[in-house]
Amino acid sequence: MKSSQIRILIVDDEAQIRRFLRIALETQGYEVIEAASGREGLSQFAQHPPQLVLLDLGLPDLDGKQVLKDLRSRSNVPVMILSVREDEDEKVAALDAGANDYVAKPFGAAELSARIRAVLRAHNGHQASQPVLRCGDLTIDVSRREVTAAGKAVKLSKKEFEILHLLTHNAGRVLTHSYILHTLWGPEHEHDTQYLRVYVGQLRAKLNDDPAKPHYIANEPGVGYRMLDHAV
Amino acid sequence: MNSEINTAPPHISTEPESTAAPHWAAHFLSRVWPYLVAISAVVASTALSNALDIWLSVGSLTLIYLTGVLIVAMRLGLGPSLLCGVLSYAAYSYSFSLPLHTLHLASSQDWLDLGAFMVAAMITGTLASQVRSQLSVIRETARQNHQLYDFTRGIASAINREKLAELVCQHVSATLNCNTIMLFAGGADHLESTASSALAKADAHAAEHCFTTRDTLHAESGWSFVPLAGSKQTLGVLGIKLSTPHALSQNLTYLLLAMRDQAVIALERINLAAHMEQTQLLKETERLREALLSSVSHDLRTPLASIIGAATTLRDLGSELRDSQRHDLLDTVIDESSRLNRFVQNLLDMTRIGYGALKPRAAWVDLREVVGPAIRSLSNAYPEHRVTLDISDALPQVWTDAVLLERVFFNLLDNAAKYAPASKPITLTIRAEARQAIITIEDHGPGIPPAQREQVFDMFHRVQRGDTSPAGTGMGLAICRGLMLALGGNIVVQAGATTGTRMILTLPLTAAESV
Repeated sequence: MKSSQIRILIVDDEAQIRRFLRIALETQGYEVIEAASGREGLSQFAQHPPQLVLLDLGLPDLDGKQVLKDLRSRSNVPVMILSVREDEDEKVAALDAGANDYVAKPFGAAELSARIRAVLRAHNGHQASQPVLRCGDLTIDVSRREVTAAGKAVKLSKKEFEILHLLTHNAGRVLTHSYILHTLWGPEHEHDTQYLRVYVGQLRAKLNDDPAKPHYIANEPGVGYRMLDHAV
Repeated sequence: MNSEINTAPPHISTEPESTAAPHWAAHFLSRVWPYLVAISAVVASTALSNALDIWLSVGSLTLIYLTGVLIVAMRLGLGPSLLCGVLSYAAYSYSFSLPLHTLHLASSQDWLDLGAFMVAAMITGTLASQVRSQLSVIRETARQNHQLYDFTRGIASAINREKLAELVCQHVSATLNCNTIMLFAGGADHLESTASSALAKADAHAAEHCFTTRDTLHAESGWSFVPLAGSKQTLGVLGIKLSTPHALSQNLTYLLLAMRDQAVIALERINLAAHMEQTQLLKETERLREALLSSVSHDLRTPLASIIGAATTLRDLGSELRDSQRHDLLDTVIDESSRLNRFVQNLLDMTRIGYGALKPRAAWVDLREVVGPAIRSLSNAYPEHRVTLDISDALPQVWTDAVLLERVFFNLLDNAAKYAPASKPITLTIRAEARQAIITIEDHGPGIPPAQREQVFDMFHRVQRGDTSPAGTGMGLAICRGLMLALGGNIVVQAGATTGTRMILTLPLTAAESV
């Protein structure tokens, strides 16, 4: 993947964070623009549309969630939240408000790079709806509804297939419980987390995936599920 | 019942007011008085009859005496009216009926006259005394109702248990003419420190027994205890000891119980209010603790995020980085580590101030020597900012703690540099007045709105802003205020000459004893 054209906007009021992010991202070939406040971020976004936004939630002028809302009203650009707020409710709220991923501060450079790549790939994949999805040794043939894991065919029920498809489609990205439930079961089942847990349990069993050491589906406690991205 | 809310003694008792005049004399007078009036009435009737004798027939004069008897009977009751009747007949027969100056009952007419006097006296006397006793019952009932009304109104205004107990004891003592004591529950199964109350040991025991059994109890010493039974549990005990050995009348017993019931309602209301207040306080404390925790974690994590980010970038991408970038990342690690260190120092100071454990170590200090290190630390953290000094030549030495003062100076300079542009210098002036040194630190930043100029020194002000302000800021001002107060001085904020902020510190020049 050639990343030289990819522009990333960093919205964070901490100069030191912006400094190391700029160095790390530029070294990996991204173009970086910065903003120290929410308003500056929105105007930077309008002037130099980026392909990805790294957004801090605690900004001096606007709340990060407000900035996210404004961004979402004009674009579906991938947005990654960087925040010291580690509250699960905050994460869920940000993800439900349209954030593509949530990285808690402090984080390492490698973790951030991997997450950025995953979000960008998921976003690009999203736009070109592929007939066959691949994620590591997992292959999903969407039109024929066939799944193979580690070379072996896996027989899935309709709902199990839909969950796996949704997660793989957004590989590397955490999907909240309510988002999955809303998408696959409808708005009236948004809070039936227990329901989802049962299906994911069955799915893991059929994929031979150990929840303690997941190879495919990772649990984000209190938030949702993430298909681990092996295409790094 | 929570004993932590009020620590005052749980029992309050009052004694009835004693009358000043000797008791027996007043009593005797009140008994004899009606008979004296009856005698006076006879004297008056005789005088009147004498005066009217020339116009009226002798028979008609009996009417004058009879009127006197009727009036006495109506006003004073049966006894005095009978006396009045007998004396009236005697006076009449002695003065007017023939033969004069004898008390001899000569004719049947005389017997009839005497009979008429006695019957009139008896009938009216009986009727009148009935009416009077009814009237006094009505008056008494009205008085009691009025007292109960006063009582209810009085205790409705009681804001705590002690005030309530005082009002209840006052009213009950005044109404029933007795000693009164009110004891509160100290837990589910015992009263609060009955031992320290005015009760004898046996009576205290009786009160406890009344409390646990919830039954009215009459002790041998004369004390009676009624339980204050609330809707859920017994709230305490009300004790009375009558001044006279008689038992309470039915009426007064009802009155006592009515007052008891009102007291219970008031007590439940007070307990509920206290409980709600405590719940509110707990909630508030919990909220503050949570806010403080999240604020501290934000302040600690933000520099850590930069340090970890820079260090992992160095490790993972080291070979691809240019020298200048590698240098920048190392700078980040060092700057953020010292920021973290300053923050930890602030946290320590804050904790010490909060617990009052900050002990200044005073010595004679030249303020110029304190300013120097503070400015050096600032130029390490903010190399681009300049500080202009304006220090009076005639500056005496100050008896203070140089280490704490330097921390105040640095915190204020650090704040100024954080918010003000580097293009304009920060000004630090020191002047000496008669009793105090005045230090001013002024910047050209955005300033602080007038409404927040006192709030910025409040720890909670920082907490409320959460992670929307640069990490580690704001707490400094609360600490500066705490340190300056510990040094016997103070700090206030004013608007600067232009847009910025002017911090004004005062330090006592002669108050060696205050440090």
